[in-house]
Amino acid sequence: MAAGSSAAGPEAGLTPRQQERVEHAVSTCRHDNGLDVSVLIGDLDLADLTGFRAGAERLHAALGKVRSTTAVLLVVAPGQRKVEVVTGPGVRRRVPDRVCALAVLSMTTAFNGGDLAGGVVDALRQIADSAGRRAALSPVERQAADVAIRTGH
Amino acid sequence: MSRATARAAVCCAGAFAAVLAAAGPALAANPLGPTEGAHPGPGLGIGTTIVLYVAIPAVILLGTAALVWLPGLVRTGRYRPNRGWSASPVWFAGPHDPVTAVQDADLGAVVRGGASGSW
Repeated sequence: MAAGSSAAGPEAGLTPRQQERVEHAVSTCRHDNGLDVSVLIGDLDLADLTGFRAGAERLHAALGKVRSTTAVLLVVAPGQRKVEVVTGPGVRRRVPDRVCALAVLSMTTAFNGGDLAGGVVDALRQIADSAGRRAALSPVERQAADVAIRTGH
Repeated sequence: MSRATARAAVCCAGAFAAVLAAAGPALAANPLGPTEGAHPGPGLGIGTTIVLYVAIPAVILLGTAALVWLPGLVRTGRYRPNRGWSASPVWFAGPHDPVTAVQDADLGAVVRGGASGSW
């Protein structure tokens, strides 16, 4: 489960401007490309980092039965310095693993330079370009979450 | 000394002589002295020299350095890869109740794709 390692204030994480940029990129993917993308930025509560992929897949499954088939989840752990892109079986043709690898490469390069939001936004743009334009997600799908949810304690 | 080395030495000496010959007129002092209108004025004092060649370049240098460094110092919230991350996770377009959703998550027999990376 994703959890903050300490009760840090919001100022310790993304700035409102950065959050707004990521929200806008997510919203663009969902509305312009009809791609159900979700982004989690935060460290995972794991004893061993070798289980990072499994943890990310669990988060992907947590999106729900329907969404986990077609959703693309980006998990960025800035403290653990790991990033994971998880795609559901129904979206793997639109977003092949090769594109995910390119997006990951672009993110790690940006993160190394300290640009967290920029890396995520660029990766989402690459994924969206690969997926092409489709009808926007239905209102029910959209309702899933249009806002950022802070999951920490 | 081998023949190749000797030839190289001769070539170098020749080239050096040619350069000296070309630069000779310029290197030689002007026998006529300074030309008309080229008389130097009074020399610079120590204070003026220091201001001109030390103080002003130092101010320009420090000003440029300040312009480069200050925005970085003022800017907050920049991620530093080696300083860790203490903020609570933020999930964009995630489930409404993430804690419960993750606890109840059913991975199923689904083959997921994607990619991994670290930095």
